[in-house]
Amino acid sequence: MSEDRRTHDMGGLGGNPIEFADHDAEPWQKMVTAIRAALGDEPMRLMRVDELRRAIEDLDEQEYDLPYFERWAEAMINLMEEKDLLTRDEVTARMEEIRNRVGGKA
Amino acid sequence: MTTYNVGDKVRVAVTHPPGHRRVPYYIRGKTGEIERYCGAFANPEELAYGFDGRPERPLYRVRFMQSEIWPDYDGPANDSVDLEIQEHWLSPA
Repeated sequence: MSEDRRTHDMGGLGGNPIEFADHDAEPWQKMVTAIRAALGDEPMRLMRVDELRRAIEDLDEQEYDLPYFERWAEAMINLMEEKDLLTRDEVTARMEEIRNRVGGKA
Repeated sequence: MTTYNVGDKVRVAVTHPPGHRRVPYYIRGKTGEIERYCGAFANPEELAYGFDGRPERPLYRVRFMQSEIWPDYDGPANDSVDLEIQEHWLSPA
């Protein structure tokens, strides 16, 4: 692969077989989608879809291999840090707080 | 006002600037034909960094022949792939 070519730009490269099985979205995946809408849509509009795409592309190669919605989540945290709205530590602390509240089930 | 008309042959720039680019690696340097004009749109390469992307730039759907893109393509000769590309990535071919 050329050094010019970025991780996400894989058109024409060999790939793994495509899994065609249909599956429902997990609740946490729906939550990530809801957070995307809350951040990106009216009235907040804290980020554009173009910015989210860019932040996903900017993940390093290891993170880019994460499942689709985890990629979104990582990219959104990075964008919120970039915009000085939240820090990763604040997000992590809040996740911990929620995890404790629901009895370690999340 | 658009620079290209339907049927014009265009070549995609061969350049690899850092940042968010909408033109995939595999199509850079390839020649295709304007299939349609899609309208003028803010530049997503700027929107991606929180800027307004103005002025809007013409966007074209460009048709490329699969056999010219992939050296080992063995599908029908008239198979094509259409990509939507903004004018600043194109030059006359």
